[in-house]
Amino acid sequence: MKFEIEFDAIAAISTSPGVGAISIVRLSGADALKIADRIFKARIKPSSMKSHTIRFGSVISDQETIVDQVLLTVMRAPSTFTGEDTVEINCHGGQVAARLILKNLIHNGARAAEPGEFTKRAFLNGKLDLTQAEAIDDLIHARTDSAGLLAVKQLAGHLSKYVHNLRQGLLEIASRIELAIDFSEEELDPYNPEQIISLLTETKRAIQLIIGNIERGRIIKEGASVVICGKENVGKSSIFNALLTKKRAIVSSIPGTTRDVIEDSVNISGVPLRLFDAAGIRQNTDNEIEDEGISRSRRAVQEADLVLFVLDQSQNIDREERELYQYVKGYPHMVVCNKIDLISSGAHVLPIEPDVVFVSVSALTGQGIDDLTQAIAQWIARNDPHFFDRAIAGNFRQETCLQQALESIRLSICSLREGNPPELAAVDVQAAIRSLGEVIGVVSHEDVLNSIFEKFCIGK
Amino acid sequence: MTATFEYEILVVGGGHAGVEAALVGARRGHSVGLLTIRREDVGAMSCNPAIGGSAKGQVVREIDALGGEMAQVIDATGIQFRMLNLSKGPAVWAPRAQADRELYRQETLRRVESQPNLRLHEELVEELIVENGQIVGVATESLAFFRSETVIIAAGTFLRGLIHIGEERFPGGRIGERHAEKLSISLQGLGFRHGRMKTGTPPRVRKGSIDFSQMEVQKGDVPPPRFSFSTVQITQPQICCYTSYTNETTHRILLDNLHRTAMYAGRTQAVGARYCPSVEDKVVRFRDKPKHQIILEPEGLDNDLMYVNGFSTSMPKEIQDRAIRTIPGYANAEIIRYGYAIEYDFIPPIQLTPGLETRVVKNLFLCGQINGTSGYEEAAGQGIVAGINAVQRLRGEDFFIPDRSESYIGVMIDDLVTKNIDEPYRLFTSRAEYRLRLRQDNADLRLTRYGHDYGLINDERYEALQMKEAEIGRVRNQLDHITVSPESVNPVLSELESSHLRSKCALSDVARRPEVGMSGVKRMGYFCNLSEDVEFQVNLALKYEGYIARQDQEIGRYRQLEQKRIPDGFDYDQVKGLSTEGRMKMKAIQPASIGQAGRISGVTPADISVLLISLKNRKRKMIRNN
Ligand SMILES: Nc1nc2c(ncn2[C@@H]2O[C@H](COP(=O)(O)OP(=O)(O)OP(=O)(O)O)[C@@H](O)[C@H]2O)c(=O)[nH]1
Ligand SMILES: [Mg+2]
Repeated sequence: MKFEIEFDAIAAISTSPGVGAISIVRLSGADALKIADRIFKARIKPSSMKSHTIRFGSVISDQETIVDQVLLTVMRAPSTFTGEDTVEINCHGGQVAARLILKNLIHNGARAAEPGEFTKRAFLNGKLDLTQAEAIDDLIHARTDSAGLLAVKQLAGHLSKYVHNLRQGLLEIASRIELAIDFSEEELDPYNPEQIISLLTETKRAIQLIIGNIERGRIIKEGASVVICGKENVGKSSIFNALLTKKRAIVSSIPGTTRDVIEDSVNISGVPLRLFDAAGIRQNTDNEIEDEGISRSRRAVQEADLVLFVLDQSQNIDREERELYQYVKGYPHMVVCNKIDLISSGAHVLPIEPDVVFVSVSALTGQGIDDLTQAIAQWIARNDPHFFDRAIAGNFRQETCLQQALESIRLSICSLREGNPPELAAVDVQAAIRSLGEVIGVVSHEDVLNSIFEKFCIGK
Repeated sequence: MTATFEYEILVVGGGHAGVEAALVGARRGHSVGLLTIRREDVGAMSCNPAIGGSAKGQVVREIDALGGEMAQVIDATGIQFRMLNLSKGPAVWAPRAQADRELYRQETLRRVESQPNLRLHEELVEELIVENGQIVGVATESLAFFRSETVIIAAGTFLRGLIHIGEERFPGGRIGERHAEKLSISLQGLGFRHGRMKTGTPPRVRKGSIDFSQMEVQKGDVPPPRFSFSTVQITQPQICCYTSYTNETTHRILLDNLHRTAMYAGRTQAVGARYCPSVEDKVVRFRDKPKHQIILEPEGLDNDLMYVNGFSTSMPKEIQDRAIRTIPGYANAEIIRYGYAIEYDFIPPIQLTPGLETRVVKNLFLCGQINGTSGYEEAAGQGIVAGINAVQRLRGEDFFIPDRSESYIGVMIDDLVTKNIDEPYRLFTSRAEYRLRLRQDNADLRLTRYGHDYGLINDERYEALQMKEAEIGRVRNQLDHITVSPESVNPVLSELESSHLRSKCALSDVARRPEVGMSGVKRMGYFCNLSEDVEFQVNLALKYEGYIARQDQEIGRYRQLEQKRIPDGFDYDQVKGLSTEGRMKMKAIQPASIGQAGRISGVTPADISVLLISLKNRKRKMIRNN
């Protein structure tokens, strides 16, 4: 007889946020290898790899594009930390690549791990000393306490309050649906899918708002990622150094000086930033290293909260640069015109939308750098004077649960719009209620019935 | 003691639970004694003359698939049949029928009395006789002693039943019938905790005193839907029901006299069900509602009484008269039997194992309203399970424990033994997590196998079911493997106003279109000999495919946790790190599995983790010691 419960696969970034040459994403659970198969491209599938071996390959997205080149280690149960099949993915440093890989794993069936959950699994699978009562105690409190930061805990109170209210609202919607099913014989307001759709749409918006506020919280906690990008030699590294007020990146007049993404942190007007200096992007190089640097720059742009697109005003804008801007345009960005101490070439014909922020600076003389920092700070705070008040602390797991709730609600709305019967929409609404419940740690089936009995006159 | 009888199974109470339990035992060849206060009350419907409804209708179909009685009896005696929820999807359709109360009772009694191995006794049970923690028999008021290896108590609302009509109150199990006082005391003496519940019933009026012209007519479906999978046709003549509404005047009379009811005067603390309020409760709790619906239901074909559904009350008689006469059509209504409230003892069912055996006394089973449920269907569903398990016990075999993913009966029993039941428990479809699976149309596919395993369904019926199941699977599978071309199906698609195919595709893709379905597929020349039944199931499989696949995944996870058994008599005090509430609840409920433990309110996910570790350590230790 096998006693172990097969736990679902959980994933998390296991290196701490910050600078480092590599990041590790860890995946553990019965389906870990199956999930790894879906995202890892190499000559051999992870599920066919021997235990405790390592392979070079690429993590690919659903669209078959390469997310990152990685080293992947397979460790099979039971000789692993958690006692389950475990996959570790060593990717490039910083949070960008790691986050993309994590998202990809979750998209393919893994669940974002709760704080302390790997340890908890190790515990449950008998990999840690079970006799120590203290450890058990830790385990029990892992869910709430290992988040650690006191401030975060305080803020987390906000989140649970909001989510609790949202869940109440959804319960009421569910009770309307259940009413139509279980009490169709009562003379009650007739079942009205349109009304339910509009209630669900409201809830959907409210959840989106919360996710936006968690985003703010994340920015406050982890810093907003600001990626400096542009053609080679326009002065990106110089601006990077100017914003950091230190000589962190190498500056030279040789095009293609910066070849990897450099990261550093700075605090401007109370908003923590994680600044990234990317390699100058150009289409054709005959240099393999530079090519790799360029593809990393593109990835950094994809994950950025804000992109600074740098131009050199002393140079003409060429086709390459215009194409590059077409790419950047699809992401939140502003345009920085550098080298204003030099004579303008007078040929700045970039199709810039009127609402895009445009700042002129000289990284060399420091002129305009203050304007730039102001512009960045304001942009990150969404021009919202209440940015800090609205921010809610929420961890990745909670955000994932909210995203799942959002998806379930979207499905239920679709189903109702297609004219499907209410018991199908009910499946998705129930799933959304469960997802919200997971955020705040409540589960109960009786809730819907209680809500019906409170609100409607039932019974002959 | 004057007389001694000996049985293998003794059933106390001849209501809907008791009858199912007794018939199971007798059909399996065991000697069964059925003790009831009055012979003519076997199979009586104490409240409304109807069977089925949302979730309940599904239960009746399940009872039928397991080899029980209720579906066949109502099919033989029903006088109006309807399928509820037809405007919604098939997953929540539910059959409901009005019964001829008298015919239903007679038909039940006939089945009981013609059953070999089953003997009916008119007896009032006063005491349970227990030796070494095991039941050995019962003693009755007539001083008879019934010896039996197993005893099933299905005493309904009779335990210390107390009836309220206005200021009047008197003991009784049902109006005009004695209650069972000593049995309740005997149970308490054995260490059972008890609680008190109440329910109510509306007045019955004389048909001739009603003016039907002022009411809306509600007809049954044609043809009438059947409950039993083996019924060929409904034969009783079909009748109508009549609806009308209360009004402000009715409400004023009720509000002015609230103090004259036992509930509002505080003469009882018993808990009633929120979904089954008295008319005075409805008026009080929903003051803004200007009217409440009242349905007048015939009690039978030749019966002069009619049941005033929606007007349950415990007002004094003269107030019942005054209030009812304000309703259109009731101006001259003559109440023949007044409405009343009844309160009674129940035994909180967390004292039972999932097999419905009591934890305190071995070989003693409880089922039906004594467990705090309401409704004939819920009672009968428990009755059949208790009957099966008494037999299993006699034979020394494992209990039948229906599971939440397979039947409403399973949902109900798990709720009863896991949750704290504090109001009369009624099934709703929303209590089932896997509702799309638990349908009335597939009760046979879900449960016939168990009916056969426990000897209640014959080989012939079981083989027919297996063939049907195989046929459904075969057709569904072939749909994916047959490729159709635009030329071959576009003509039929045109006729069905469905868009044309541009290229070849699987037949299932065409069949999935709502406007095509299996009937369209037949028109294309495929599966022309498909039976109606199989066609329905295949259509449903196509329609719900994605949703059912998702529910099946959830069911997989659910089962995994159900399979993690917690040994009998597990000592929760030995487990370090459990929350106080979790420990207390688990000690009281003694969950059979990790899954069940997780459904106990107050048990946290952390408690479950700790429990898992400790079970695992325990197992390691056992292995080491061997
Ligand atoms: N006159 C003037 N020169 C500048 C300014 N900013 C940068 N430069 C010069 O431009 C050259 C390129 O600067 P970098 O900061 O290395 O440019 P980059 O965009 O990081 O270049 P790559 O990393 O090679 O893509 C250096 O010689 C800088 O000294 C400016 O505002 N004015
Ligand atoms: Mg540079």
